[in-house]
This record gives sequence, C-alpha cells and structure tokens, in this order.
Amino acid sequence: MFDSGSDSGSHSRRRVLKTFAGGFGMLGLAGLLADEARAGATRGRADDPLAERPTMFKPRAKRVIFLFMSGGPSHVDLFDPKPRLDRDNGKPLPFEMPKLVRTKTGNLLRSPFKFAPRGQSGIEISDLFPKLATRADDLCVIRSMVADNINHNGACLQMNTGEQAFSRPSMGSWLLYGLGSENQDLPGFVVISPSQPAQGAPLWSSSFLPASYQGTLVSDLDQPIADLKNDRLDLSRQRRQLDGLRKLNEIHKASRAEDSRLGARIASFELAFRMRTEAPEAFGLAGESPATRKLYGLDEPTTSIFGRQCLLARRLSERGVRFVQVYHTQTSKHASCQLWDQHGGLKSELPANCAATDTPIAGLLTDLKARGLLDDTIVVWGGEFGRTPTAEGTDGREHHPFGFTMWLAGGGVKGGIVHGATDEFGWHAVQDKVHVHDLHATILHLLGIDHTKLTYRYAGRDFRLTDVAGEVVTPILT
Amino acid sequence: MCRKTSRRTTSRLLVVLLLPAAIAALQESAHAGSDSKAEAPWWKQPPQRVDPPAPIGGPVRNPIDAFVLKSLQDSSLAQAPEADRKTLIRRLSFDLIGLPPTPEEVEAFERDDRPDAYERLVDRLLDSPHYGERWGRHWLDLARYAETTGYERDSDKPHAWKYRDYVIAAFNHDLPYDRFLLEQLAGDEIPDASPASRTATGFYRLGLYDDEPADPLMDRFDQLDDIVRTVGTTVLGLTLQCARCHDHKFDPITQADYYKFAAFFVPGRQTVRDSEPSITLAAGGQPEEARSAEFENQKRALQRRVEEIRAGRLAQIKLERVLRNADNDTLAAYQTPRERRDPEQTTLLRSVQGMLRVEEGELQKSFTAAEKSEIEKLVHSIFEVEIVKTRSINRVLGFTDASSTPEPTRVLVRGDAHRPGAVVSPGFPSAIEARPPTITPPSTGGTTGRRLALARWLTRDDHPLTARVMVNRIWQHHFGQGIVASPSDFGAMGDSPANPALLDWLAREFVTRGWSVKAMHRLMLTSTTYRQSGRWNETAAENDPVAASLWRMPPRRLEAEPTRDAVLAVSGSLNLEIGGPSVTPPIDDVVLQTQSRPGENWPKVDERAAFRRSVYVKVKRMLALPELEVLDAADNAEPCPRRAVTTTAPQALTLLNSAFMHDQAARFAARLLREAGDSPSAQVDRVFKLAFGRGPSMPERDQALAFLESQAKLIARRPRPEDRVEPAREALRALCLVILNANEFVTVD
Repeated sequence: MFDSGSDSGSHSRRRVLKTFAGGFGMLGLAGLLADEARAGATRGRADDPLAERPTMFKPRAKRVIFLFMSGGPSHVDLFDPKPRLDRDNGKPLPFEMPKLVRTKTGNLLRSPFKFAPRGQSGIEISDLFPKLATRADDLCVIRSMVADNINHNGACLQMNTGEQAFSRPSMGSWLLYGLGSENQDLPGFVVISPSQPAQGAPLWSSSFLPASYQGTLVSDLDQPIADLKNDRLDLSRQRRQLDGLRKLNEIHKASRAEDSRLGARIASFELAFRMRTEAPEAFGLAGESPATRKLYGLDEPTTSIFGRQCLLARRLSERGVRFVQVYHTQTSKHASCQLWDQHGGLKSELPANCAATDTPIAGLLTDLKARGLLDDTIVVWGGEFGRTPTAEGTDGREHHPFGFTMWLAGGGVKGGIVHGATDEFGWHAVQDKVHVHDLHATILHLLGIDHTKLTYRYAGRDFRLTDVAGEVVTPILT
Repeated sequence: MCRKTSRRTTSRLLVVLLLPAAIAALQESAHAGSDSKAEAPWWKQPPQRVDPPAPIGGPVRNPIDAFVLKSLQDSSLAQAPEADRKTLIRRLSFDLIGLPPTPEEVEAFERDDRPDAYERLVDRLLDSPHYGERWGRHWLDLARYAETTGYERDSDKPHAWKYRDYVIAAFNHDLPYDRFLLEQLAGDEIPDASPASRTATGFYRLGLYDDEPADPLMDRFDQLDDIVRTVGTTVLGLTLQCARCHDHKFDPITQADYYKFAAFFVPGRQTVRDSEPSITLAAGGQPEEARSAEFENQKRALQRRVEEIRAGRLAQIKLERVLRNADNDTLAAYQTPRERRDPEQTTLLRSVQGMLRVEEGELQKSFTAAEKSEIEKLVHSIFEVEIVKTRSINRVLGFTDASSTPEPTRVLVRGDAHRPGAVVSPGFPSAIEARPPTITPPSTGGTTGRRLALARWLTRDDHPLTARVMVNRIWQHHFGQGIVASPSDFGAMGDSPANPALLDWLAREFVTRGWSVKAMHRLMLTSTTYRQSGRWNETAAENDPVAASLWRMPPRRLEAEPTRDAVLAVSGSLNLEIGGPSVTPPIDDVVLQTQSRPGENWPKVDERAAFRRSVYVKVKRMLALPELEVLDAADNAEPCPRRAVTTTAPQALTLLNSAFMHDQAARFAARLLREAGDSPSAQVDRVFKLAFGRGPSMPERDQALAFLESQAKLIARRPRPEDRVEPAREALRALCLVILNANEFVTVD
C-alpha cells in the first residue's frame, strides 16, 4: 500500500470505527450500528470517522447553522416586548431577584426601541431588525429560554456543550459523532469567527470524543483556508505520497490504538487532500452574483463582515457541512469576544450590532429558502443568555439567564410562532420554559437522533450532550 | 487565538469569571456557610510540611515516586515499566531543549553503561544554552509576549526582544525564581538594580496597546487591568480581574481587593506611547563593540571564581568518600595525580567511578553559607554581563514610576473610569493577606517603592501561592497536566489539587532549594514516574483515560515551536544562533496581503535568519507565521497557561503544501545524499534515525524502499524531459516530506 496507493476496502466499518475511537467508548455508536443493513447504506469512505451514518429515525433536517450573538443579546429590546417596563420605568423590580445574581442592577428600564407586529403571524419584533422582520413568518421565536450560568464563559460553554464548568464535547462534535458528515471533502463542523468568542477553542472542542469531531475554525475571512494550492505537486502524485504517509502512520499507530488523536491526524491529512479540490470552490465567494452579494450586504461596510460569514455558512451548508457556527465577533468598527454585552451603550452599541447583522441574517433566510435548503437546514439564533429588564447604570443591562429569547427557523420547525413567555417584566421564563438542554434535545431530535441514546463511554460513565436532562420541545415541531 | 480582539472587550470578557464557576463555587460556599469554623481553604495557607508516604514496595527513586505510587496504590493501580533509552532521550530532549536528539546522541546514550548515564543526560540538557529557549518560551506564553501593539496599526514595540533574551538567559542561568520575579516586578526599584533587571520590567509592557483609544481614561484603566490580570494569574494563580466591576458572590476576591492591587501599579508610567521605549538606560561613553571584549573578560573572571569554589568542594567530597569507602590501593590511586597513574590504578579508579560521581544536589549542600552567597552573587553577575554583553542595552522597553508622589487610586463604580469612588491604598488580596504592605520609597528616588513591596511579599518563602503555582507549571510541562489542572486559577473558582500533599511537598522543596527551577527539573526528571513508558493499560484507563494519576507517561504532541524547530533541525538547516533582534522568515504573499499595509514591519531576511529557532521569530500580533499559528501557537492577547491541542485539516494543508515544508523536504533530501550517499537503503536508515531517533523496522524499511522506487519510476515516466531530471533525488524529497508529516515526527512518547 505504501507504493501503490490502492485503498483498502477490506476494513469492515465496525472495525475501523473501533480503531478510530481508540477501541473504547463507542458503545453509543455501536448501538446505532446494530442494524447491519442500515450500516451498509452509508456513504463515504469506509475508513473515515466522518463517514455518513444512519439516523435513529426519520430526520426533519440534515444540518444546522447556529448564528451565535456572542455576549448575550437583550431579549426585552429585540424579541420580547414588555409594556409593563414602559409603565414602571424607574421603579424597582417588585419581587426578589434570584440568588444567582452577579451584581445589584438598578430599577426597571424601559426599552428605548419600538416593537411592531410583523408578517402574517404578527410576531412582535423590534425596529432594530427591519429586514429580519420581513422573515417573521419563518421564525419560531422561543421567549422562554433558560440557562444556568450568569457569566460569559460558563454560559457559552453550556450553550455549546451542555456543561458549564468542565470540558465536554460541543454540539457540533456530538452531531458529527452521531451522523458523520454529508460531505467527505470538507470539514463536517466549521466555526466562522473573525475574533475569538469567549474562551475560544473549548466551545468547539470534541473533548473526549475522538479528535476528528472537533470544529475547524475559520477566522480569516480574506483567506479562509491557507495553503490549499500546491503548484509543486499535482493531485495524483500527492495522492501517492499520502498513501505512503498513511502506511507509515498505520504502522506507528498499531501499538497505540488507544490514542484517537493519531487516527484523527491521519484523517486530517486525507481530508486536507480532498479539500484541495473542493474547498477553493466552497470557501470562495467570487462566483456569487451581484444580487446575492446585495442580499447579504457584502458591499456595505456595516454588513460586509457578517454578510460574508453568513454567505460562507450557506455555501458550506449547501455542500453538506453538518454544523456551521457563525459567531458575531467583529463589526466594521471593532472586534470583540462579546459584542452583544451591553452593560452600557444600549442605545448605541445594540443598534450597531443589529445593523451589522440584520441584512445578512435576513439574506441568509431568504437565500436558503430560495434554494430549497431551508426545508432541511435548521437556523438557530441566540447568545449565551439575555439581559436584565433592570438597568445597569443608565444605559445598560446585566447578564440574564433566567428568561431570554432565541429563535429557530427551517427544517421541521413551525414558522411564524412564538413559544413560551417570560413574566410581565421579562425577568423569569414563566410559560413553557425551554432549558438549554431542551434546546439541544430538540435540535438532535430534528436531525433524527434520540438525545438519550447518543452516548459515549468515558472514564467509566456514559456521557451525552444533554447530561441527565433535556426534553424535546414538541409544540414547535411541524 | 484572540489576536484581533480589542482590549476593551477583552477586559470585559475577563471581568467575568473563568469558568469552573457556579456549581463548584456553590458547593464550596454552601460548605463554608454550614461550618463557620471550617479551616481556610488550602490555597490560602502556606504549603504544609508533609513527609513522603511509604508505598508498599515499588520502584521509588525519589519522594515524588512515593507520593505518586501511594496514590496509585490507593486505587489499586501500578506504574508502567521504564521506557527504553531511545524513548527517554527523545522525551528529555524535546522536554528540556525543544529539539530532537541527533542519531549520534541517541547512540551515545544507548552505549553509555555508567549507572548514572540518565542523570548525566539530564544534566547535559539542563546545561545546554538551548534549555532557556525552550523554557523561556513557556514563560513568554504567560507574559503574553508579543513585539507589537496589536489593533489596526499593530506598531512595533522597540526593544521588546530584549525582554525575551532576558527571560532565556534567566532560565539558562537558573536565576532563582524569587529573584526572577523581583526583577520583573520591581527591577527598577531593587537596591541592586541593573540593566538586566530594568530589562526585566518589560514584563509590564508586553500587552495589547491601543494607540488611539476612543476613551483615553478608560484605556488607562484597561492598561492597568492588563497588568493586574497578568500578575494575578501568572504569579499568584488568581483571577483578580473578575472583581474589576463588582464583588462576586462566591469569589473571595473583592472589588476593593482589585483596586488595592491595581494601586501597586498606578504610579507606573502608563501614559507613555508604546512605540517609545520608556526607559533610556544611562550607558554613555564607549561604543558597544569596544565594551564587548571587556565584558567577555569580566565574565571569564567571574566564571573562574565559581569553578574554583566548586572544584574545591568537589575534591573534598570525593576524598571523603574514598577515605570512607575505599581500600588503601584505591586511595593511593586516587591521590596520585592523573598523569602519573599507572594503568592498573586507572582501571581501579574506573571501577569505582559510580562512587565518585557527585550529584549536583549534594555538592550544593556542601557549600558553606559564605560560599553559597558568593556563588549566587557571581552567577548573578555573570548573568548580567551576559545580558549586557553583546546587546544594545542603551534602551530597553522598561517600566518605572512616573513619580514618587502618585495620584490617589480610586475604586471605579462598576468599573467605569468616569465614575471614581472611594480612595484605596495599595494592598494584598484580603483573602490571603490581611496585613497592609510596608512601603518604603527606595533611596534612589523617583519611584514609590510600591512594586518592590509587592514583589517582596510575593517572594516570601511562606507565601501560600507563589511557589505552588510555579512548581505546578513545571510539573504540567513535564507530565502533560498540572497537579492543579487549572494552572492559572488556584482560587475558589479553580480546580483542587489532584495530589495536595505532593503539591505542598514540591512547593516547600522548591523554596528550600533556593527557588531553583533546575533543581525542580532534576527532581521530576530523575523520578521513576517520569521514566515510565507510555504503555497502555485498559484497566487503569477505565477510570483515568488521560493518565492524570500517572499510571503511564501520557504521550504528547509537540507544540508549534518545537515542531518547526525539529523540521529545521533534521533537514540540517537550523541556525542555532542565540539571542538578538527577532527575525521575520518569509510569509506567503497571499497572507501578507491580509495586512492593512502588506509587508509592513515584516522585512525580507536572508536564509540564515529565516532558519533560526522559532522563539526568535518576531511575534507580531496581527500577522503570525502560518507554520506556527496553525499549530496552536500561544494566544498573546492575555497570559496563555496552556496550549490548545487541535487536529484539523488546515494544519495538514499547511504541512503538506506550504512553500516552507517543500523547501525543508528538499534540504532534508540533500542532507541525506550528503550523509548517506546514493544507497536507498542507507538513506532510509538515516532518514528514520534523524527524524524519529531510531532506525526503521523491517516492514518500514521495505515500504520506504518501495515508495522511493515507485516515486522514481513515476518521475522517470513524465512526458516532458525537463521534468525527468534526477528522479532518485526527487523521490527522496517526496519521502522526506512524508516523514516530516508522519505522526511519529510530532509525537513524544
């Protein structure tokens, strides 16, 4: 094999998966593979941990685009209007604040922004999102989100991995582990973030899952992937060299079967090779029409950065990338880990963030729909938490995980509905609470995975994305 | 990774707690609440005196083994057997100097049958001038070392590299860690301030710097926050910065603590532009070149005196041993001058060589107090001469107080620079030190003495955190994970030590051994624990898959710098020159185009400069060498206590397709032709030995030879004659690229 470059077809998939997983911990997956007939139906290279795998039941969607507004966007200024705040502006919150409180905020603060009913559904959305408002009938707005952590790092970790304090696999990693990738020539989990959000890499880490399932970060929008070209070596010669490399690595790995990083590194070279043909096309925006550029706001300084991120997300999703996470971490004015963290500057920074993302997000939804992709792609919008209805200083709000808004759109999700509610002040989620674990369970469900059955054995215990909690939010499903 | 993050928002981020947050904190607080008489948590108390436990049997070489083995035995686990010598020398070389051993070094070590061959190897590597390059880099990660300001303009910080050279030299000279801190924190205030110690204060000046802040007052406090955060996490292992805006319910660091701590640094010159070095060292007079010979002589004289003292003691120890243990013949042989010994005497002495080997530790113990202090002074003088010698020391990027009568420090309401609150005076975090500092302005004038007071407190022998934090960092770099897994967060929000007794024992040992980092290396590296193989054990892995309890030596992947350095080393291109201004190896034009002004401050350099070790590559915040950046190089927006280890396709793309790697493969091939000739078999043998420190196995050899043959055939079959030149050489290049990309090349067992 070292010299010929022929691929071994003899590896049974089961054995190969075992090898890649380091020979332990793949019980969850083994369960998924119980049906050999289904296993036989997989596509992709048999020896690739990213080979596509069957779902547990009929999926409603195949992929996810998670638009992450890093910092904690203010629900009471964007998606959850509270007339009571207008009335009681400046008055104290009439009940005791929860114990998990960061600081003493002041009195109730009305939203400086106007809301209006949008679309046929009449969902109320703030004036700060004029373009997105036109897509209201596609949105499933969840106003009763609940998280457990009041600080960015813990909350970002929980939103991405289900766990606040420890290293755990991220949702994208779990999805790759459960489903593999639809496209063997691109990374299955791509993170697009011009600046680092919160603590960075732990948010897209595969943790104890095999290393092949970690997210691939794209931070340079001008040159998303370096060294794709190689003028010195044509594809066929490189293929043969990689066969040589592979053989050498297999010998080395033979006595170190437990180390999944070695298998992942082998796979990363194979993927890199396949990306040489596929990625320039996938990551290049040059071929997009002027109409599309306009749709995403690519030529406007305000929207060009997030517009490129969203268009890139569409191009990757279109090509079968399972999980694309788009972090809003940079505007034309500045870069930040927490752009949406309005402790102050509610009247200036929040409108600026909305202006930077409104056209790109609306454009993404329009574009996905036009291409028929919205039917089997879930778009998720949100941050790690919301913000207090009470004032921090005169023009800010504090972190607020007790009740906040996220929205979903696309495959298997009802459009034009509002699910759940906070109390009349926007403080506590009071009706149809949706915990982060529930959101995760629902997303997995939409992709054809039972969140209680996608497990991985590590350090003597079966782990899952939703830990011991999580319920699918069935009312929002079509 | 946080390269493009603005300072303002970074501090916002850091206002917030590093994660291991709520649950653990809740539990701890609930616990403390329920029992008010509970003892203070471990990290608030000085390291306790602990005696090494007595495990049942087992290969205990030093107390570390006793601690580790006992805790393994408590879980019914054992250690892995000792690794073979090839593995050990490769592990030690990468660990201590960040370079692969040469085939000749591997062979010599394998042949060395002296009982202390391993210890000698450790000593040799610790004495290598490249040791400082490897371990200095670990410190530079913590010092958020970079040579530019970041932000849009990303201007150079002139002379920043002198701080890097200071750090490398400090490690090489085993500058005691307490002194190392003293110089960085108050190198301008200490009574024996010197050019070296003033260079060390560059520590304060390495962070992001906004040269046109939207809100200058806020920016001033952001600068201060960078310092509080860097000193807090790096030295104390505490995340003080969380309290910038307000108190946190479960965090014992209060907002008042934060501003009291910040007050130590308030008098410092924050307002100076970073493109201007703030300190001009008076040096006047002679040009540097003329002085360098003078420095050389000074240094030699100092070294001679150190050697005299050492040699005297060494002779005495050896003689005592011979008198105590040996027969008269041996004694006679020993006392006969070497050149007058007969062959029999020489043989006799060789047979007792083991007895005559004196451990560095024993030698250290034999010095009288006077000798010890003289040596310390001498070594420090040598170190200073070394720093000053060949460098332009007239100007450094340093830090000092703007005046000895600073403005008062005020708490900022909600961290808002425009809402000053109560006045506070400098003070230590109240959770660990209730007494106020004694601050005496140095007689030299011009400064407040605040930072000196802080530095003296931090370096107290009984400080609860300083020694623990540092030994834990050393441990982490040797064993892959710290005893406390959150190396820069020892407080209420951090992880608890996995083996508290071992941590305390090491911390006390560190102080007892004069804060000598090299002494700690010796301890850890000569333990049985470190010498284990990486053998897998299914049972042990069941509950501890990452081998945190050290039931085996966990294999590691090389970080960015040793990977690039190893490529250069095996290809024969590495330039081992030490120190001096940073170099800017070529970067692809496509990448340079992403700069706001392409190519700015990244000049073209000659080959020799391009092939220097990675620690000398310029650290430019907005433009990183792709070979390093893609392999998880350190974040330099804030202290980086632990490198990320990711495995992604973009890494493979760079390693497969970059101009750098192809050029290196070609050079590697040329080297093989020079050293192994035209025989493919000899080439294959050599390529394995250079890259992996071992020869190929039979299957590997067969595969490699077949690869060469098939590649050569392919090349010979090319349609255009100009593409068919030197097929064998071309094939060898292909093999070299494969070898440089192999998993084994970047894995340390």
